[in-house]
Amino acid sequence: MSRPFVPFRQFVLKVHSRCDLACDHCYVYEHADQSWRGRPKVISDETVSWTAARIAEHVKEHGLDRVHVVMHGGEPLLAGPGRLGRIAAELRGRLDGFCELDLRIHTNGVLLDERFCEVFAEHGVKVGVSLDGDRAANDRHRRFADGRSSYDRVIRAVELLRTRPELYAGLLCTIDVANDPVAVYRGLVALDPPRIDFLLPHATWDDPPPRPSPTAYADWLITIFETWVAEGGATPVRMFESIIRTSAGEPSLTESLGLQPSDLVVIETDGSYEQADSLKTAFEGAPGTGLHVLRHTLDEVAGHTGILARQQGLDGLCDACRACPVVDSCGGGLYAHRYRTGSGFANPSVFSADLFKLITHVRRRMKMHTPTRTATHTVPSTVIDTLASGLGGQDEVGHLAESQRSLRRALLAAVNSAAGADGGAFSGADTAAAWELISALDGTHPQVVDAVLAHPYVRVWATECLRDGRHAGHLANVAAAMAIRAGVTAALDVQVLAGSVHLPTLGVLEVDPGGTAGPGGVPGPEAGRTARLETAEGAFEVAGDGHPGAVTPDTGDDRGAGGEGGGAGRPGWHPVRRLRAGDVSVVLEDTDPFRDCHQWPAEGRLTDDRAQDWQRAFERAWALIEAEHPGYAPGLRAGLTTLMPLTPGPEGREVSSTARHAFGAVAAALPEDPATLALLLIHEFQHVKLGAILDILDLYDEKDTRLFHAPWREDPRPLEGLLQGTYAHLAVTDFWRVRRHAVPERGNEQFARWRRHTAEAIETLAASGALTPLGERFVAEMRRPAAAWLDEPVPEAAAACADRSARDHRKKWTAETSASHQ
Amino acid sequence: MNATGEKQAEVASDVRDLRDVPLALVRQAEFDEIVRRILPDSPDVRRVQVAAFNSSI
Repeated sequence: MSRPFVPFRQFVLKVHSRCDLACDHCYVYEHADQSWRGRPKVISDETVSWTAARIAEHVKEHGLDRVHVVMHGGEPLLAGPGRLGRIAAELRGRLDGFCELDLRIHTNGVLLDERFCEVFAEHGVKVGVSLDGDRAANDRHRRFADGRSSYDRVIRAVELLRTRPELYAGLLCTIDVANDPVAVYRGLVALDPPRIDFLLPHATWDDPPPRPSPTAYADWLITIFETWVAEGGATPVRMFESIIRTSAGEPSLTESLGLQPSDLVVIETDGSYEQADSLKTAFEGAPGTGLHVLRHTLDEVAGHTGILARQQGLDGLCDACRACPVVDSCGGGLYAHRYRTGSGFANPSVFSADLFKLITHVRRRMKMHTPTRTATHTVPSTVIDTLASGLGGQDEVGHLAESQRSLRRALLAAVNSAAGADGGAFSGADTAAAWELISALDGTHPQVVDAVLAHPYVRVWATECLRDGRHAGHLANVAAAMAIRAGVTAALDVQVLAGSVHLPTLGVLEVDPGGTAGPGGVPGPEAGRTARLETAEGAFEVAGDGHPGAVTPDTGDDRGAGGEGGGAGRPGWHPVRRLRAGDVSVVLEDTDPFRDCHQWPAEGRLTDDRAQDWQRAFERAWALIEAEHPGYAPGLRAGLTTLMPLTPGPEGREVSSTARHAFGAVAAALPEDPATLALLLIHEFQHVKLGAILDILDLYDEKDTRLFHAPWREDPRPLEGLLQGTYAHLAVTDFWRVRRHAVPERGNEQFARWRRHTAEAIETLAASGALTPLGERFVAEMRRPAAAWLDEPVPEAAAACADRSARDHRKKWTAETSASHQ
Repeated sequence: MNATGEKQAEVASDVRDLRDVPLALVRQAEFDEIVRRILPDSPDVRRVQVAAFNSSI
């Protein structure tokens, strides 16, 4: 099975290949691979320049938003502050502006002084230090060649970093089970590190670690874990955090645990690309790739079998590991630790027994269990077939609507996570209280939470928020709308946009008439202030809005388009109106600040008269749909929740639109006649259905970037655009197939034209080679009605008109396409 | 009418069913998967969770 390409995001740059200490446990100098002996001591400026260029090339090629570079050794400070400054400047010069660069250095600390710190501060370099614990532990291995202790020098370096916390990344401790674990832990914690990690000493089955008891490493780490837990886990410990996270189904923070693929490459001082540094412990030459930064791109390195081998996840593990109940957390341990002559890396880790005992202990202690994967949505094949035919009723559209609930909940959780306590992506927005309220209401009033989240423009807001980090504060407005609907007492600081407090599904309250608005009265992108909003018993008040008394919004579905509905008479309150026709009721959305996401601009708040125009048009259009196009009515009834008025198109052109993230909403400028509104509703709702199908199912290969001829467009279309257009025109054809009996001349012409275009586009899709098996089935089902319609008789003049139209369009398109390729 | 025991063929989606998972318990891995799917171009979404270099911090 092919796996997705994993671009490199982590780069270990070996800036110096020698060290000023002679630690006897060092994997670089004391283990199997001795390649350091033939390498230049220090990386050259030319190699640095090529490395930076290669990374930049890789970033642009794969659109990477963030990469990590670690300056490493040997001992990287031996390169000196001047060279390190040049290296950092070169990397920042090449990468800043294209992606975020997380630049770090990892050192033994011996040489660290103010000069280095100044360089690191200037170039934004964070510093990690190796320290094996208290003095006794550190001096066991980390000594100078003449036997002197390095402890005092390292402590001086760490103390320097403590005065510059912006540079201090943390401490790395290599485990020796001969050391007192609590003394080691306390020795590290006393230095106030932002994070600690404990590293198992590099070892293989050929050269196993010192082991006084069968699970000595687990026992040593469990002692520290218990101390850590007893003290509230105040200092983050990467190994423990990773076990806890992977036990909850979240990603590990280190390559030594978990099943995540590796995206790391090493660049040695001579410009050679190497695999994981730790492979030096396996055998001579183990990390080598034979590739070089001057001659090979990073994409070429990414195809190296050794790199790919560390991206296989569960599939890359031996049978014993795959069957292990803690494999989600262990991940087979560090790749290098699995090595044994003869079987290579197809073994459990040489620390397997320790990892099993430690992970089991952590899970039991934290009352965690093996992560169970939440079930996924499923859709009956018959439902997909019915939808593919262009139709779909309560059951079929209901399936889509149900899956949208999961998407909305995921988006909301993602917004909350991104706006989290750690500063997240959305600094400045205090969303904790809103999230707490929503979470509580999710337990006590789940239908209310669902109802507000189901508003199409709540998803639009969430997606915009995740994209650009703005308007995270609107989470409080979402929470306030839920609280009002639930009738609970709450107080929240809600976002004020363009002088108004917007409450999704309920309406908008003007609190600052001077607030700025964009075109059509829709709030612009500028973030507003916040206002204190208090809710109780279904009513709310906003402090300082200039009007005494509470607003009691109408939360039912029976309010009409005319008048101001619930809260009537309250100055500045504009409730959401509804349109009704028979047993159908949809929101007439002209207040939501995130509704202006369509191809055409949103219309501002409608006057009562204009809203009544919409009511009359909707009633008549719905009556036409039920009478003449009854196959589409059940689907619309099940899934159409919102009509969003657009500003009229240029020169009276009919305009309508859907937005991919606004499930249930159709946007349109009010057409002249009800038949046109009926057509727009049927047409646009096809896009709503197909968008929801594509949200959960793969119908085509998203990596296929080819463009295709669409018979109704001047420009070539990507596959999704062609699929969307074809699916919509399937219904348009069906509309005119019926409508031609009422308006024969235009109707026959339209039917003849659209059936031909649709059939042609279906064949383009089928022949594209880009459809998944499910997509092929979907298109085959689309073909059934389209093919049958080709056999229906139409007047000769209409057929001739359709032929002429298709011929002219193809001719023009071919000419333009040819010209664009010359 | 079909026999009641006959199971209808189902097409499985990759999208996790979070309808009955309390919002506060929706795990990062679960929402990351969904957000990656429906917002592939989002800058705040990690495309593939990867393993961090062991020998630095």
